[in-house]
Amino acid sequence: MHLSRLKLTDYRNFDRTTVELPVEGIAISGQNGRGKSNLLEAIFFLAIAKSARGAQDRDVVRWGAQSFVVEGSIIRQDVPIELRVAFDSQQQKKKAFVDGEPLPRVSGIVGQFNAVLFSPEDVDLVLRTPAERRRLLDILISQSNPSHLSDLETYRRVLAQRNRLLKDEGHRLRVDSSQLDAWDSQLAEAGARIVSDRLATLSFIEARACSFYQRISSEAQALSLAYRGAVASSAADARFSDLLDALRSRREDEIRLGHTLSGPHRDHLVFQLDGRPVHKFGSKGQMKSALLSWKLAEAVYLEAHTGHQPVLLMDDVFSELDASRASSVLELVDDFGQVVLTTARDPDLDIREGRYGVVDL
Amino acid sequence: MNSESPIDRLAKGLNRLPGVGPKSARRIALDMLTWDTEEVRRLADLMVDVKTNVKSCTVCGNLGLTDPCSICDDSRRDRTLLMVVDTVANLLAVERTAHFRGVYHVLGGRLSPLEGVSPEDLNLASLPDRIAGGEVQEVILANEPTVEGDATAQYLSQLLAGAPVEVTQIARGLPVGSDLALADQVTLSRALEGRRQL
Ligand SMILES: Nc1ncnc2c1ncn2[C@@H]1O[C@H](COP(=O)(O)OP(=O)(O)O)[C@@H](O)[C@H]1O
Ligand SMILES: [Mg+2]
Ligand SMILES: [Zn+2]
Repeated sequence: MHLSRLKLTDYRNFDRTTVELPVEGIAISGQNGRGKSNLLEAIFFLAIAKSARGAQDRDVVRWGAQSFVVEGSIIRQDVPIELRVAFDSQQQKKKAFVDGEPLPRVSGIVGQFNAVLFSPEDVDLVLRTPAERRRLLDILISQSNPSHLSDLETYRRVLAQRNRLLKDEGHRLRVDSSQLDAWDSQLAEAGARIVSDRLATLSFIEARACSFYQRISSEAQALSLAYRGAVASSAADARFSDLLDALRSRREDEIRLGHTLSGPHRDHLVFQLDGRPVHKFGSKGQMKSALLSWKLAEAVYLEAHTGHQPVLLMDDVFSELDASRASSVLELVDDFGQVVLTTARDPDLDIREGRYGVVDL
Repeated sequence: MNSESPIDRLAKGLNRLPGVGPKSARRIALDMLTWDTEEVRRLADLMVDVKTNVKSCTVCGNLGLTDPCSICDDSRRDRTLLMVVDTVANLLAVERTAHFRGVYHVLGGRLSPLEGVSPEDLNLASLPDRIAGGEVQEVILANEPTVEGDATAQYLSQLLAGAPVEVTQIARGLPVGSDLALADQVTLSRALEGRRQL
């Protein structure tokens, strides 16, 4: 799969911009602040209909404008597909279109266009924040499996309802918890499916990420991914009842604290080097290599599970790499499909002699 | 000082209608200015008429000109089958299938702590009594296929756990997150046939 044209209207610092992208990819060069990261964020918008950096839709609208539009022409197995995501800040409305047809729900666009975004800027944030690591995994699964997204939506809604109940009605729940019971089975059902999807995906990713890490890093440490949670070690068919038990066993604490204490929203995904958490003990370089390995493994996962090579979006990958590291990353990336990479340096030999044409922003 | 114009006041009043935002409300208000006075009066009378003549059925919660409603009052309906629905709109949708010959119980909403809806806010109190009456053999839960509808169904099945009735739930032939009142009749009839034991 590849993106042949990107058209932006009032997206971040772009008022009206069209970029044509060759099938093998493109290198975008430009000084800092020119909008290279914004451009990759915009491409990823076509994949998940949200900002990859977690920005609010209204903050993505170009300052002084009222709405933004991202349009992409995709080629998927020789079939052209037109995607469009539009947001209007006055109406607070976001809409998604496939081939001009509006989708009943914006999230329906997820899975149409698959991409993997790596940006060194985010390494710290992603690896140090538990919620960001869960999001990383959930976005990946949702791209290949739409039912994961609907499980997440259901889970979030039930969780919000249940937490409000715990907060507002604590005194009453102590005497009669039947209202809480009414939400528990839905929470455990969606929760068990979410955990199962996450574990299955992780076991695929871990092996690939580990071998990429060996190729990227000159050190001999082994990258592993640990998943910890209330039912992470339960047998697949016991996860529902185990999660229900976990909820029931902490009910008094939940009522006292006013929120839900077990479930996939509290689970931990930990990147480890030789068994030690990278976010605690890793150097900057190690964290960067660990996340890059994960991202490359994502691309392998998406191809295996959707049948299409995702588009690789590599932001500023060469910023902190010496020439030989940079060319080894370029070599790795060569095995993938379309690559859009950005660089703040003058387009150097590595790129010119590579397969990518360079455009200046 | 009340500087609000009559048009603004009408727009505000219309804004209370479900699905009518401030902009549409203003548009409707301005449009009404172009109507004949007679037309406007007729509409106003209809609204007052509905309010004074339509009653809520004290047996099932349905709306109608009589209390009990025409369904509760109909001796041909099967009183051993009791279907629980969230809203009158959903009752009407099921009626349109002409597939269900039992009677109803209309809750008037769904459990939703986020919107401050708890069991007391629903038409639940009379349900155990209705069932204790002894005629009902099967309670069919036909709540909306949403998170809130599911929680409401779950709550009801707990509430009725000790009662001497069979509790079933309509099958999910319905698209999740959709509005039962807008479902097509085929889908609704299927869902009705596929109800299952809880
Ligand atoms: N909503 C917005 N409207 C206009 N400009 C924006 C908006 N959001 C960010 N920017 C601008 O985008 C620039 C940063 O772009 P970025 O993509 O991070 O640059 P690069 O990656 O090339 O260094 C900043 O100068 C910022 O002022
Ligand atoms: Mg940047
Ligand atoms: Zn009635």
